[in-house]
Amino acid sequence: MILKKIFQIILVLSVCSGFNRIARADELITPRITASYFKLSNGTKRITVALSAKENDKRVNIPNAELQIITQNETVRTVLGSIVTNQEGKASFDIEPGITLPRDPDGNYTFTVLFGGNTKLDKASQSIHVTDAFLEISLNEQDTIKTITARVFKRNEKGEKVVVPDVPVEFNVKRLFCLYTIGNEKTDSSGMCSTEFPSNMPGDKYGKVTIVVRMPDNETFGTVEENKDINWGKLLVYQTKPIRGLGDTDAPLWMVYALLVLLSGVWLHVVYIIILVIRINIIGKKVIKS
Amino acid sequence: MNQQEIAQQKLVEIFAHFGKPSKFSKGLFVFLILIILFAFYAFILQITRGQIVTGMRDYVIWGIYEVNFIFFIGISYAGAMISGILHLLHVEWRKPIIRIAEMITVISVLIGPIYVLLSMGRMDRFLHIFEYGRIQSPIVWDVIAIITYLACSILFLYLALIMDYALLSDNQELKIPSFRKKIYRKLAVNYHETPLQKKLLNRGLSVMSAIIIPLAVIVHSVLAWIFGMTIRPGWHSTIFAPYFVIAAVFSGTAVLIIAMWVFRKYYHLEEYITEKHFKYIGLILLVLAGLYGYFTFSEYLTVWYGSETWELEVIYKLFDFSDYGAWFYLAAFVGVLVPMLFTGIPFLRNINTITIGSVVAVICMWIKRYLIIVPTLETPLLPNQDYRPEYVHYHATWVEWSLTAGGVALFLLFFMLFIRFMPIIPVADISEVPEKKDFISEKL
Repeated sequence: MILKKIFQIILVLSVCSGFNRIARADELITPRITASYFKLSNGTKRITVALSAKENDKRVNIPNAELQIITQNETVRTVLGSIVTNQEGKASFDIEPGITLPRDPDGNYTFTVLFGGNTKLDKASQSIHVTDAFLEISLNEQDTIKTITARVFKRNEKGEKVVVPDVPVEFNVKRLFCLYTIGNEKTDSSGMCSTEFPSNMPGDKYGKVTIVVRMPDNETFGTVEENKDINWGKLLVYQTKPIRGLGDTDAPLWMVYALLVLLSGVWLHVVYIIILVIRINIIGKKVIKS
Repeated sequence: MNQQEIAQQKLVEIFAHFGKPSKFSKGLFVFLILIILFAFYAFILQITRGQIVTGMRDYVIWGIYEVNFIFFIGISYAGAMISGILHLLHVEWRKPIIRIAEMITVISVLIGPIYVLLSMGRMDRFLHIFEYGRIQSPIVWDVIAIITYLACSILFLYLALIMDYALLSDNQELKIPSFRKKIYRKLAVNYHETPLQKKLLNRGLSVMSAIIIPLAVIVHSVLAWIFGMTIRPGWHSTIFAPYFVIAAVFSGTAVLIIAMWVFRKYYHLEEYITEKHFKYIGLILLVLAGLYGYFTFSEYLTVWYGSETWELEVIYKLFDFSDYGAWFYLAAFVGVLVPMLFTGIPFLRNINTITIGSVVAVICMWIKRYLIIVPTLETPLLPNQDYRPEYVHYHATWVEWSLTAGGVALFLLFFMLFIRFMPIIPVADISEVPEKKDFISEKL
């Protein structure tokens, strides 16, 4: 009896699952848009977008999809432009400094990323709300201690700059391929935080380093970055003379000399023997003549 | 005609006899040529189809070609060490056997490097060694050392031949074509045995004897360093250079004994190559076998005791009878003990047993070289992913065996050609050997 019940349940579930699959085949897939805000040190605002969808229980990136970037407040809706995702389903849109964007009464920006949909994918949109923040950095050197100080501001309703406390700030030095983090701090009540610059950090041949301070992935402000160049690094001394070692093109000098001495030692003796043979020949000729 | 002239004339007659090949010689010549031609076919096949016709793959990149290379360079020690040392020490009994030793040196140094070329996937790139070679590389040292060694070996052999060529070119009884006599005359560089000429020639021989010994040591040390300077189990050892040198002198001496036996038997040189020579050289073989055994024990004991994982992997392959165990014990024990027994125990010691001991030593030394190269290459530090079994386990193909046989045939063929144009026993020198009582020989 119990077995019969279980069989009925399995049958019903299988039929339902089959219907479900047929239904899903006809349905459009809803893509997921992930958008983030990034404020560069030159004031450029960058919206980075990633578009993906779930297909056969796997998340896949959607390439070549056109996305609209819109900014709006309660009264104004402006289309800033459109972008196309790359093979990784990613795209970014830069808003040059100086372009006036509509704000809400609190002074915040709203950006909406809109995907129009296609034959397989449904329409989708994602909005982000960010407060415009400002990051200032100052570099001080006292005796041998070098300090980087960061200060974070935002604008209040009146448009005045006010400090932002308790915000994580990341201090980095720009290296060839990535950023090297030298400190992670939080702003104090005066919106300031500082870290010490390491004395052994290599710079270029003039000692120049680029200090990059960031407020990373903040819920309110997005990512805000500021950088400054300064000659605090250790001077990079270029190797002017070629190194002579086992792994180098040129052999160590002792090895060259040893080889020369050994080879010339043997070959000079060979030459000496040949001279002896020639002398034997000359003496022989004289004997024949006499 | 005095006693000396009679002795010389007898040797000239023997030499003239070499010039008239017997049916057996002709048959052997044809047989060797056939082997060489077959080896040449294998060589063409390797060139046209590539290294895939060999057993060498991604892991084992050096197979029996490299084994043959080390083997031939090793046996070249016969001339360099035996001939060089005995000459420097003015050992009188060396004279009947010294030429054989010098011939072995030149021929083996000519043949050995061919196998390095055969190991190369692209032989046309051999010249890159000279164009782009780095002095830091032991392979470059090896090329330089072998070229120098070959030049010195040829010069050493030639210097010793000058007196003989002078004697043969002037000998009226020697019935050989006139062009050959002309060539001998040219090669004799007008040597008339004047006191000054004799002095200069002896000086040259002494200088070459002194140079050829360290040169031979360097050549085989460099060869050992090609392995020793590679951080691989079974190779990375500080004693590898002296170990190689001892192994080379051991195998070189054994080959010399075999050659002495063959020439004595086939050309009836019993009067010249006597039991005394076998016993003396046998004594050298006994000492070398002891030294070689000592080095082998020292090498494997140190590595085994160190218990380094990667090293142990190779060691256990060598100790395991299901792997290389049988070959290892043959090379390490039989190859040492049999020559020692036949040369060390007085009642076992005679011409034939000493020669049998030498044959065993030569075979075991070839196997030893195989065990140095192949098990190590079959044990990589990081195995490739999804490798095929044939990529790991090396088995020489018929192409490699044919070229190996071709090398041995070429060695014998060169010998046959050499003895037609060069007296195998120094004609000019032998008559000077005083027949004095030999106490050491009696004791032996």
